[in-house]
Amino acid sequence: MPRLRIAFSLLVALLLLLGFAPSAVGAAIFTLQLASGETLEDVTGEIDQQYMVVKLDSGRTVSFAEITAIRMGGVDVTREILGRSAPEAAPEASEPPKPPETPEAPETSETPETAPPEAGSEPAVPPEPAPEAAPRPEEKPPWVSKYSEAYREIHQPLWRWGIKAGANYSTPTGNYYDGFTSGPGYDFEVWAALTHNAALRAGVSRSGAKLDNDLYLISLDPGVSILSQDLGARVMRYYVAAQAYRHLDRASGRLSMWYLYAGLGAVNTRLSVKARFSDGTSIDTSTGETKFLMNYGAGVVIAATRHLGVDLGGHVDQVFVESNNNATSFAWILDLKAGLVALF
Amino acid sequence: MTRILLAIALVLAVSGCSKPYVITTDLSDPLTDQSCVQIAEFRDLLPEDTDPDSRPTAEDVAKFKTYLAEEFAARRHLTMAVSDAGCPYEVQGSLLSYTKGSGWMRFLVGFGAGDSKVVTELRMVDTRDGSTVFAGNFTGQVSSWADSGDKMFKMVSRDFTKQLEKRARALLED
Repeated sequence: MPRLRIAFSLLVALLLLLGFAPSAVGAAIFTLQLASGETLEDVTGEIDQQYMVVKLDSGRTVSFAEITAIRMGGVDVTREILGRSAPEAAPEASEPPKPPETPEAPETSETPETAPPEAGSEPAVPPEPAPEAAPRPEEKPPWVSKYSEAYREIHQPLWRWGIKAGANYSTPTGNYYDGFTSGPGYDFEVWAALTHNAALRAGVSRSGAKLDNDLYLISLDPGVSILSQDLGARVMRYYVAAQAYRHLDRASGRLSMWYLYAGLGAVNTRLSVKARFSDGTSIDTSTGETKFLMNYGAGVVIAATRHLGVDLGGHVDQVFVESNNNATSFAWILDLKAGLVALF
Repeated sequence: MTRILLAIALVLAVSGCSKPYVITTDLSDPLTDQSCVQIAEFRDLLPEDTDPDSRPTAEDVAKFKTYLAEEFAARRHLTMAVSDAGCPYEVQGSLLSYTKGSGWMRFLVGFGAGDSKVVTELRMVDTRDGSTVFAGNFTGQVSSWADSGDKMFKMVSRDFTKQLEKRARALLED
């Protein structure tokens, strides 16, 4: 037993170590094109994604910020490693280094008013060239202010309204739903986007919960028998919910997203009885009651077209059955849902 | 159970000891003129597929620059005031990775969910000859729900100025 514990603790430690270890690619041979114009050909080193640097075996460490292109085995892997594309007109490998481009202050001061007074007494040859003086690579537009129109445009929801129709498979649990069993139902929802990651949803849902087949009427009068009977139940839910969502790839404009929601509502459970008796009488009645509920759910929308997606999710209704002496009893309806959603 | 907890604590302690920065260009000469330093606009080198709404705003970047200026002012052995232009040194920065994070997620979920993270390249350039005198990649991460996500910028600013100061002092003492 102690061995098992030790093995388990070592396993936990190993998993944690793997989880926290810096993510470094093993040693490989690269050709690095730097922003300065310098090309480091066939250098061996490691890519460290945690710090976003390339650690060369020569001891030099190059930041991703200084790299414009990376090739491994002749293949351009710039986008895979840096997350951005190499410039189109990147010079090919065997370009000689550009000596005159970077001013190194060799013997005379090029900016008279700011020249250091001790320039003449400094050592003539600095340890390495200063490639950073070269022009920077492509400059993106400046940062967007959150008070700007551009920011508002970026944060516009990709859709405003959604209509969803789908099916559910409901499982009621709890004492309140004793005698009920699982079954398929349907639902209809309307979604309204408030921001780029918040929405409201309102829906009506017919739960698939139904009466168990083992339930039936019995006659208490020995002289009267039941000729036919039909027992039915209908569980309807009406709800509104606040939904948080995030598009899986907002930059592409596709509407695929995951979402979470929670809300309030009501569930109406109605029982109906139809029966015909041997004395010629019959009954056809129904009764029902409505309970308050809270609902929670999560799911994903997989966009099939620009406006149409498949919605898959899970949904839980927490039904407040009754309260007695500060004790509240609950019943639960668990749903698996699938449907089509149209987003505009 | 005790062994498991000890193992977890050991791993967390070891992993927590890793430095939040890598120096790519070390200071080789003392800073000759510490009259002032200017901070240039940060470059956006975030991955191209970063969601537009997940990028830092101009206000976020301005805060970063403010924290840098505050850290320069707070360093006892770096007597460099931050000025807009005309300084012998300039701090240039590039954002390489940025996750805004969410305080609510850190509070409700934790375990890394909602963490704020940034990886930035910071370099000090001698404006007189354009050479880089000191540079490195610095990471900042906020995992506590009690802290604002902006604290990652503070951490990076502190680490950059602290390392610069440390190396400048070492060169002066040599």
